[in-house]
Amino acid sequence: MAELLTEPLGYGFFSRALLAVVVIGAMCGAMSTFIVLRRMSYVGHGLAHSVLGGVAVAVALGYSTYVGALAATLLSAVLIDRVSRRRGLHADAAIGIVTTAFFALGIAVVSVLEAGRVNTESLLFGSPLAVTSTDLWLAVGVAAGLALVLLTAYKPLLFTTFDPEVARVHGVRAGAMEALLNLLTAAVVIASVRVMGVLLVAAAVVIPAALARLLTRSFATMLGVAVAVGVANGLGGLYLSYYADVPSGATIVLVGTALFALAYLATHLDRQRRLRRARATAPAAAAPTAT
Amino acid sequence: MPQHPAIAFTDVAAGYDGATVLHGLDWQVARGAFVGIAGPSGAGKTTLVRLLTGQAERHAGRVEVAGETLGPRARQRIGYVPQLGGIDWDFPLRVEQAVLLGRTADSARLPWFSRSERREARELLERLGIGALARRHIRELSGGQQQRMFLARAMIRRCDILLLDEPTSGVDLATRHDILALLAELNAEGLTVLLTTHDLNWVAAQLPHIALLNGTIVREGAPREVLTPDALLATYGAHMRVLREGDQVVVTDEAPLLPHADVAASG
Ligand SMILES: Nc1ncnc2c1ncn2[C@@H]1O[C@H](COP(=O)(O)OP(=O)(O)OP(=O)(O)O)[C@@H](O)[C@H]1O
Ligand SMILES: [Mg+2]
Repeated sequence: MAELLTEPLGYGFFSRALLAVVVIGAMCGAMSTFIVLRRMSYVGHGLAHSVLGGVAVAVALGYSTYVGALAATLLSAVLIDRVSRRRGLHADAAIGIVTTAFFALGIAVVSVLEAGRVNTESLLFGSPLAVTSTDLWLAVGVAAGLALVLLTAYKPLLFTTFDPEVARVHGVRAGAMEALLNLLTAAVVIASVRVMGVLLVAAAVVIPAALARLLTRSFATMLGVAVAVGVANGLGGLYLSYYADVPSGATIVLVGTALFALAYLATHLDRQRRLRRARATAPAAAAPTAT
Repeated sequence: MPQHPAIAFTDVAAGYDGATVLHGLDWQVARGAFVGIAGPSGAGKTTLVRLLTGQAERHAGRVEVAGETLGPRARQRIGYVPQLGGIDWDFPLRVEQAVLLGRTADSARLPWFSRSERREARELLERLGIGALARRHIRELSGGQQQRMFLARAMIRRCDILLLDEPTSGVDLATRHDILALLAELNAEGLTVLLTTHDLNWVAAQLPHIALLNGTIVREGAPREVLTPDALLATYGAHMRVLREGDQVVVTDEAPLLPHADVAASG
């Protein structure tokens, strides 16, 4: 049994991928708490999609893929902001238009490029094999930045997430905090895309917090549980990916969904049990008389 | 040092997106006053409060708080209790934490609140009569208790002006009474209290000072003087009857709102 866990560690690429999924899982978990509570799940989804366009164009022009990803997320964030300011169009419509356009551009460019310059499958669904040490260091850097921000701005971030209007009145720079959260979301998505894939990273920044929210009613606990769930998803998904030879993004999302379903079922059963107990111990009301 | 009013509006126009809601506002709230603002829906009651909290635009005129031009520094004196709607009540937060957040801007940059800050939050909750609920989730409070929680969040800032937007809407008679009694007590200790309300009889008429608002202040003073048929007509554009009994004032509809039941039945 232990061999199943240690055997793949003999490969250099696997240990590197292992480190990467731990770091990425932790930071996606932490970020997901803010994303879910701010009801921004769709933004992570959208940003990830626009990454494909940026990466494809960057490859076509011979730039680093990270430069392309960064440019695409920044550009789409600005465009989403512009479009959603139009009366009658909300952010969900803006995201639907802008990021899908980037995605479509990406698909178009990829299919025009000569075969082999872009590995479409690993780009879309993630691949631990593709993790370079640059990728790993980027993930570590973003995670460290996120941890630093959480340590020094935890209270203003929490206040802004809960009640931005009153936070502003109470002297918190809520606008700056919101911008910071958006920036971190983009950075986390970009740093996670190699392992998770463009199509699946969105789930990584939603599932951990959704699961944690089922289990707890305190923000700090939710954050902690989400980080732990993110790491567990990453580890479980990576091994599954190795043994089943399935893209890592897919296995990580599947593990996460399975855990979510378990937690959902457990909390559901717990509620049923408490309801039954309350009904059993409640003072008996006048029994309805059958006629 | 001259005693500045707690809040002073001089020829103020304000609104949203360039559209003016309040205009020609010349009004002062004395230090230590307990004032209610009443007026029809859309009169700008919330806008007046939001102007002070920095959420509405000022288009013209001057707003001063304790003699200081309204800005982030002057706003430090203001505690704000918003309407209960618009809050995500499922947010994972306990009552005590929700109160402590009010202190964020003056607190250390660490992720946790200090022991003395937590003690202060407990004492405030104790004072407001919900000390036993400190560890509860915010959803597990009644409307009146949620109102008190946000009152504590405003007060933990050590403000000396309290702004409350419809603090008594949607709570029962007893809770409404408790909230007003609590505010009166805080006011007696020196806090300036400014609230908005739709309730002329049970809230406005009980306060020492009220202002009728419809785009601008129509009339202000003691309820006895302000709640008159002509002032109410000027503010609400509707005829209302005012009954007096000693110090008490009761405002009612002039005509029955709906046809009598027997008329309806016979018709
Ligand atoms: N955020 C906003 N943006 C644009 N216009 C607004 C906004 N909030 C309010 N208004 C407009 O300003 C006017 C005054 O609204 P306000 O909320 O101040 O009224 P109110 O007196 O508080 O009414 P109510 O008793 O119904 O709460 C209304 O015509 C309203 O449509
Ligand atoms: Mg209002």
